[in-house]
Amino acid sequence: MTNRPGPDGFEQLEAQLGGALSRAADAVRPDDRLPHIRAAVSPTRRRPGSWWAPIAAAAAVAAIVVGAWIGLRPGAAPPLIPGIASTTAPVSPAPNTAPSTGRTGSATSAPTATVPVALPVYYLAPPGSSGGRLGLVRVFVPGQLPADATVAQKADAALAAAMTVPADNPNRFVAAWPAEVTAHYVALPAPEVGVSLSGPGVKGLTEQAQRLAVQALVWTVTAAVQQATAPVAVTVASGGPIFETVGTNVFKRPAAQQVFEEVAPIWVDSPYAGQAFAGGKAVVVTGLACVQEANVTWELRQGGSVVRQGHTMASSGCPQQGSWSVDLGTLAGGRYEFRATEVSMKDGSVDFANVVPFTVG
Amino acid sequence: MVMGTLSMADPGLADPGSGAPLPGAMRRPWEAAALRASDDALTDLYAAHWVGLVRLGALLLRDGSRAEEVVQDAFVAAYPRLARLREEGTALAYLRRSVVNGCRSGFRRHGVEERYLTFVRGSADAPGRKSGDSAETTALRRRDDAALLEAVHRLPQRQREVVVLRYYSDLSERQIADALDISPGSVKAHAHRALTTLRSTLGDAS
Repeated sequence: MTNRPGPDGFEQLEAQLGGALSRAADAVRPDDRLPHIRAAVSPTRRRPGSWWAPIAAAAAVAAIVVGAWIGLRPGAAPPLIPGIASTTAPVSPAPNTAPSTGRTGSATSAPTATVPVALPVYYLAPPGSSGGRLGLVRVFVPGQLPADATVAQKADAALAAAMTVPADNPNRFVAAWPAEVTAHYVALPAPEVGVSLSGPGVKGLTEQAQRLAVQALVWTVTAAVQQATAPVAVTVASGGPIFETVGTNVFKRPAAQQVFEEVAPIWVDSPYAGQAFAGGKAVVVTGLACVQEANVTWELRQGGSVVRQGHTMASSGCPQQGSWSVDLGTLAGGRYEFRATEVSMKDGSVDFANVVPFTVG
Repeated sequence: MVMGTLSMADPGLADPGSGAPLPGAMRRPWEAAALRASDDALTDLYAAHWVGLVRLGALLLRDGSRAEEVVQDAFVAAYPRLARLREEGTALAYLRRSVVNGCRSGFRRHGVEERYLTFVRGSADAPGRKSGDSAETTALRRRDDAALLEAVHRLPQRQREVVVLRYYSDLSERQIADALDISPGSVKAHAHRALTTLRSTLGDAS
């Protein structure tokens, strides 16, 4: 292929190289990632300053999750995010959003083009043992949103997902909200954002669980609007407090150095629960951890049996969240469960476990 | 905080991806113009070079998915200066250098080499194995291709990069030197060593 003279005596080899590399390259059919690049460089992420940095990181991971999803499931539509009516139908306008933009549709308007998204949603995870603690787990929920979805639509979709514990998730997230209670984003004068609950949370949670259940909504909505430090006003439309011990108020995420007080020890960003990998593709598990000595213990299980196990180090130890990854390589087809755990330094018991099921082939 | 007054449509919270105003005074007129220029440059450069750069990355990494991530990162990182780079005519060279650097760190970081070697020995999604040709001559050529590609990827990293940039991207020594941030003389030396090694390897194998 090359028309440049190479070193003497290599003409035949050079011709072979050009042909072999060209044929190998021609066989590569890249997916379209322009929407993900656009999302990654959206204006709110270009501004100087640091308040959005954690959200930018989350969005970058989300883009990877979406990209991986698209790459691994060609031709298939992502599952729906709770609250999003259909993959092509317009999103129903949420209360208190901005209809004047003309982006929200009605039941009779033309279908709106949708794009795959993976919204960061926060759930309240129980401890793995009596010595552990409750904490928030970030889950990237895949789904479809209109290509021109507004901030309000994104926030409503994320809040809808946060209100319902995923039924097929093995992590036994705490169900803090009755099925009939909904949450909607409310636009407030900057820098505040609002969340309007249709009713209070479930009764009988511990005080800590009540507080963190509200914080799960705070983390979720601030991630959706990409304003990590925004104060969030939470109101209950039916009146009364949010929980027995938590009244309506303005809440915030903790300062960076206090984040460890709210987050669960281990997050798994990819794969998401139920993700299907094509056969022959390497499976790489990634996440964040705030664990002792930055040590993440993991197991890969199949049919209840441990087929592989190991340890990996996060990039930093608690009180900071460090990133970690485990390259599982190419796996044989089947159903798997990846289990990342924090093991007690005292007695070796499991203080926390984050379990993600996925399939290959 | 006054909870009783919930604004219906705060323009400060308009969709950041829609080109609508950002909160407060965060968007100045000149910033808006610059962003539009960058968006235009992104659209054009993506259309012109996305596929080629991913293929370059796939040849360096032997992992198409990872190559997409690397090239996506390159576009994202270059975004603020894409308009200027396009104006200067240096956008492709800049992106190519980012991709080569990204592949280099990606190759180290993710154990791609191991997966690549596994793949070259028989994985169904190996580059060069998707075209679906079935003639006997094509099968023989594929076998030869696989042997040659495996030999290329056993080369030292710098030699491998020179070979791919020279014989796939068809770059001059000067362009390769620019992409790899080395001298043209080094490019020539790496190319010669690579070809010598490949000829020896393939000769030994046959």
